[in-house]
Amino acid sequence: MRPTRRSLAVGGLVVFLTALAILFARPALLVGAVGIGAWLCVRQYLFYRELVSTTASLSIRQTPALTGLKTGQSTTVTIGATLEGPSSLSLSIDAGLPVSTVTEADPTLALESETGEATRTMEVSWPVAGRHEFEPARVTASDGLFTETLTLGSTPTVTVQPRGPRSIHVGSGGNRVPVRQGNHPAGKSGSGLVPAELREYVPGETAARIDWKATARLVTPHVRTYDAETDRLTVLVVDHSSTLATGPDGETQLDYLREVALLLAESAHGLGDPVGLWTVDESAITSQYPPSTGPIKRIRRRLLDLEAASEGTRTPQQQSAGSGDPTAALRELRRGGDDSLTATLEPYLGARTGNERFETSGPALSKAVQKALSQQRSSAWVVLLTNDADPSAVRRSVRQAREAESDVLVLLTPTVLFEPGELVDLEAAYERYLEFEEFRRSLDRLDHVTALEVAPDETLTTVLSVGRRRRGVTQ
Amino acid sequence: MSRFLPESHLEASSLLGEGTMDYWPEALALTALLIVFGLTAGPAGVLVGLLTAGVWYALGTPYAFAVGHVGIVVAFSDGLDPLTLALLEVPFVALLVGPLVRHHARVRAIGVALTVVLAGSALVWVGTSQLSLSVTALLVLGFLMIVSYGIHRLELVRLGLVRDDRDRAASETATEGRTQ
Repeated sequence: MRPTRRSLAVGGLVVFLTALAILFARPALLVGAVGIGAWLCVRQYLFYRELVSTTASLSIRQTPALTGLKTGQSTTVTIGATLEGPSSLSLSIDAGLPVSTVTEADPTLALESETGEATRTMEVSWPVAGRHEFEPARVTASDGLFTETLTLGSTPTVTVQPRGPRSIHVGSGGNRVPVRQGNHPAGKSGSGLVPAELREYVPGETAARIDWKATARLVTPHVRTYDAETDRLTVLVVDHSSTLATGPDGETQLDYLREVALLLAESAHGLGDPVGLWTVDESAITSQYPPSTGPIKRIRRRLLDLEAASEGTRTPQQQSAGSGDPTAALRELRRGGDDSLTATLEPYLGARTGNERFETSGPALSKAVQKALSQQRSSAWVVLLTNDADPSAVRRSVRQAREAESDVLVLLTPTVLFEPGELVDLEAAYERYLEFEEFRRSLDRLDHVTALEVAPDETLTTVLSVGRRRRGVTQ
Repeated sequence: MSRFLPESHLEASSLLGEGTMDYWPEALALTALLIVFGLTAGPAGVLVGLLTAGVWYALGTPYAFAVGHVGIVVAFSDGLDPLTLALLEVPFVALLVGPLVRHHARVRAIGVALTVVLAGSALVWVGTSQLSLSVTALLVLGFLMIVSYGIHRLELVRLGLVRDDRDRAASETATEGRTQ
């Protein structure tokens, strides 16, 4: 209970009369001070009584229209108050919006006793991901002499998810296939620790390879062979041409492919395999990181910086206007002169360069595969991450990789599952998905080629439900 | 605010009447005040009574109390016997209690008002007869502060606004976890 300025003035009056009583030695003034003090105490008591009865009859609801959102999205929040009995107090109610929310509306609601009910709806945006619980609403009650603030009402929770791919499906024909791999067979024997087989000694082999214990046990000379331990060269070729920009903000085809590429790079790095990265757009190789077993920080950073190219082929000058290219930014910075900003930023941007753009005469994807494999002496595991926009370019790239005797993993995003509004006509979407599936299977049938789809799980399930329904009708 | 009283009039919203007729207790108390002042102090007393009534209308009961008591001191500049003072206090107490009849908790409110007035007055009477006036004044102020603080604590406890250390720690933990 806090006094207002009016009741503080009355308190001052008590002190003033008391001072006068002492000054003029007149106890009558002290009796007057007692009377004023009694008035103040009674009003305080009445405020307490009124507050108790008001809070007993007051109910407050805080209701967000949506309880699950993506970062940056807005939803309406309605705050409602109902007073079941009469109250002489003036009530102002502040919505208990979580701290991280942003609203331009006034979150304060005034409740008149005559109406007994009030609601306010406000637009609230949620820029921070996480689970946000509302605070109880803050009710400020006043009778003009005293005020009190208390908390009342429901405390709903809103879950805000970050933008970006949440549920990634990697598989074939709707069936999930694990893409992250553990140890993998090298397909040949050599030096290693894991025994592969015991075989008879063949004349001409070095005597050092004879397993003498096995020879003693089996009478004739025997040789023990081991599984070879080799590193598998992993080459990631990531397409970021303009067609991969299809999809909602933060959930484009490129975003999905980026997640899978990061996973594969981490996985290969974890197994000690050398990992390299080539990125391409429609007409050029936009960056190349030759395979290495060292830290994959630069590959990670490049993948995270990767943006879908703008519509059409971009010239190097246009490329320099983009914000995500450190080489272009460094060039621009150096053009600006030798100032302290250049001196500060140069080392940072210098460390991120390596994204020199190489224009190619044909489709950049196959050129990148060719360039990546031409630099390697051994066969590699080529991972192509692209979509179904240009099937002939994908086929050519796969052929290039197979000619170099490399195993190929093709990760394709079906464009139909990313186009906004495409799922309005599910039948048409399913037909287009079947076309994609036909293309994927044609690649998957090739020797040493695995072709998988990368898609949002929920969307794929929705489209595949059409197929299930059709089969159900047929049966 | 009541249509009868001006904006400057000081009263709790729960005690405001809707029309002029709702203020009959105050009118009665002020009439009694005029009569008692007139009878005890003559025309000067009537003048003080009218002034007190005017201040009540304009500013409210506490200011009417202040003006009325200063008026008593002025009107009885030669001194005042306790019986006359008690007689003069009756209409003031009526003015204090009068508006409370409009409240649904009138009995308890009147009880609080009379208790404070009687206890305070007794303190003044005993204090002035046993102690110096300045010490009595301090005792009276202390008494009023204790009563006021007691009502404040009662409100906190009744509405569950008192938090011990354990509650505070739990609340802080909840606040930290609320936005995660």
